[in-house]
Amino acid sequence: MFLLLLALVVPAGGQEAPVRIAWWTDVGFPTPFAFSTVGPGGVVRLTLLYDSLLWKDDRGLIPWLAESWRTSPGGTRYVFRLRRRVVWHDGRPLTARDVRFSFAYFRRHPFRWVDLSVVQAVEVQDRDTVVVQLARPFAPFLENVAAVVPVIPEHVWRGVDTPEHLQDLVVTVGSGPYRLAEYRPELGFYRFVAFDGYFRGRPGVREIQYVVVPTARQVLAVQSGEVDLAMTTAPEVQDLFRGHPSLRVLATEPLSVARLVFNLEHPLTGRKLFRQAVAHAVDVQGVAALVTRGSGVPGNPGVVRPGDPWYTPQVRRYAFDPVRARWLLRFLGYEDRDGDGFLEGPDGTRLVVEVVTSAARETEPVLRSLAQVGMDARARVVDPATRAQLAAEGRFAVLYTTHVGAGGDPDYLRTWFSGEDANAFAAGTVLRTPEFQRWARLQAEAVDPAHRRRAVYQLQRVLSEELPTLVLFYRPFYWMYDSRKLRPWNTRGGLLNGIPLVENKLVFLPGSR
Amino acid sequence: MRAGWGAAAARWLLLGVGVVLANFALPRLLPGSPLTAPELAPLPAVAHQRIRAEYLLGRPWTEQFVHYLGSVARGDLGRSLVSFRPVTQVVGERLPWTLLLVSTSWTAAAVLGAVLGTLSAAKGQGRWTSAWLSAAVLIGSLPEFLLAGLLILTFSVWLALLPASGAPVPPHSWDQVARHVFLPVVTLTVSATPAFALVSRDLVGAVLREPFLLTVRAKGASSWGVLRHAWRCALPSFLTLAGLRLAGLVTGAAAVERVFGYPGLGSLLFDAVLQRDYPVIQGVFLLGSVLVLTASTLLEVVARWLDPRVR
Repeated sequence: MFLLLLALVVPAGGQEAPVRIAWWTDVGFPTPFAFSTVGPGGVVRLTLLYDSLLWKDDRGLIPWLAESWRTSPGGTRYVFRLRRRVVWHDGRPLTARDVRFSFAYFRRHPFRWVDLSVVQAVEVQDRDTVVVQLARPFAPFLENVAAVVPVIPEHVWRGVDTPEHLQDLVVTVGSGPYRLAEYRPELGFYRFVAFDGYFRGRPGVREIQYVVVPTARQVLAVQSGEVDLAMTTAPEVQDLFRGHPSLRVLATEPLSVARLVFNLEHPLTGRKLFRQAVAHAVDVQGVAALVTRGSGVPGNPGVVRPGDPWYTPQVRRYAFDPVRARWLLRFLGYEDRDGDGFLEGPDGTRLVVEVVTSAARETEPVLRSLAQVGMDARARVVDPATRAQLAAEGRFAVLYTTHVGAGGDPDYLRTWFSGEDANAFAAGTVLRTPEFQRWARLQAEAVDPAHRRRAVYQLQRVLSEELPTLVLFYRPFYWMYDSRKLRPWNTRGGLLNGIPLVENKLVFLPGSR
Repeated sequence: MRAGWGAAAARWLLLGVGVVLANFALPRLLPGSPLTAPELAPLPAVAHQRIRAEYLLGRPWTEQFVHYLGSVARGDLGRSLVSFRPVTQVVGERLPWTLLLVSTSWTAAAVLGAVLGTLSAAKGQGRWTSAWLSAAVLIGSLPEFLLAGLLILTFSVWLALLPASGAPVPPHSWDQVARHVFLPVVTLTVSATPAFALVSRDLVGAVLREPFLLTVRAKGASSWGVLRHAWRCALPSFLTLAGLRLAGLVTGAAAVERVFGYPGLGSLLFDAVLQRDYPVIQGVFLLGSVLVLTASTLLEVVARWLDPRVR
């Protein structure tokens, strides 16, 4: 019986040693229509198969499928000159028609990672030139659209009505450095083999495999040699691997953010003074040090991470000051009327603050801070899907969330607080003040870089005043790797739009850094 | 005899109806909706409308139930809301892994439990019997995830003999799969064996006290011969209880699969619940329930066939 069942899961075969990368779950079929958007693993894996017009290295944007580009003075027209001799995995040439087709197809069948509503039309000027016409100026276009959206082959997808249902290896034809050779969804196993016809040359790493390893055992998997690249948020791995002959640790920029999201429609958290009282009550430095064990950067009320090229210190600050927090709460009518250590409102009801969270331990120090100023702070621990549901429906007062994306183009200052972000974990609040909306629109549509910078700074100031969110800390990811197999490095501002993953396709190409 | 079969068929039918009802209702009783789960939330409104229409989300439950019954009757379990693949395919890929894990553990635990229980019954009361009974109760009450953690710590971390993860990397070889499946099987076996041992000890012990075995002994039968006679009487009850234990083992397997990252139905169900992937949740429940019901019924049939009093 055992042998019979074993035979069901054991096909025969053999292979050479690949680079093996650990991830904690399957990320879906790797086409722009079926990949998983839970976490950034799916969209990053797509970049091995597909190319975009531009790309990023450790210094920022670089030409990729487009060897050059120019922008119209009004910022609404982008002309991309494509490289010659770029071919699809099936040997056909990649042309401007494919680029036009991709944008047109994504209008009907959305590429879920990027909102393309700003693209009005895409025209083919000649075989190698494509013109993208925007509905309005959009400053993040190059970094958040041109360097993210995959170009797909027209000859594969033309006439396909339900692309998400089409999940066969033959449709994964891209122009990227790797071809998909095998996908086993039940194992979360992906095997990518080098595409020798790649326009940037033959990839040095001949085969990349992705395997599923539970989060808690990724360190062990690297130590035991089961995988060559894996991730953890535990800073202790730096000490663990120090002095090891081949295993190294690469810390990313702290692009993962942990923050409290306030429901601005809630009678309690909708009051700005209350949010400011919370900001004074929470020991952000202490929370950051405790939860990240010293590896995180304490939160900035202006949302942008200190050290980020777009950061400005000219924002409103909230020192850890429980006395001031109590004073603000008293101003709002909350006092300890019965001497029980908790604040009560004018009608005698206790000030109860419920924090919706999926990470009870990380929320604990925040609750302690709030309790110290007299709030009856309670955690409502739910799974991530329920948390997303409560956030989407506005059924919360305070919500604790962690997600990536605190880097790259600063347009996230708009999308996080306007309900337009693709990342469900970045959702939860919409700031409707005219001042926020004005600066959010201005920074997105600014053509002049200096004007944009000013608008982004103003936006940070507004966010620090209004406090739709209280950022607690930014933390890095730690990538453990076998230096004999690969040498990863950090992409500036994160891969794509602020993703602290290190499998930039350039890592696998010889001499491309 | 015929009345007995009729009652069994009626019970099977009743359970089947219960399974279908629970299968439909349980995912919908979960807080949250697939459309606001992190997986589908980023989709634009047009896509949400299409999914709503396809899966009748937001329509009255009665309408959804009629649609669900029709689909199940056609053998169409729908497509996953997350991976967009047919549920039959998604579930079918995981099934052999869970069958491998559960059937191996169940068989090993039953055999091991039967041997230990028989030895204990044959020895009678004593200090050693009390000691192993206490140990069995202690081990049997340990949650599977704790046992799994202890085994990982021992065999993967300290001794570095076996892989910590349950999902082997293709292409699979026999030894590689066996190495990966070993710890999950041991976890489930260790967890289930005490129950089998205690049951078989009671069953065999009770039979050994029956007067007819005096006759067997008087005829000069060896100890082995006496036990063989005892087991002939105890086996039907043992098989019935083993069938009941199967459901518990399937549930335990879900936790073990999760801890080891083992690619079975339990891991699939866990992810599907987090993603509110209704069709997959329903598919796994349905298949798991049908498998357990079928196996239990088959064991009951065998037990009846073996029991001369019923036969």
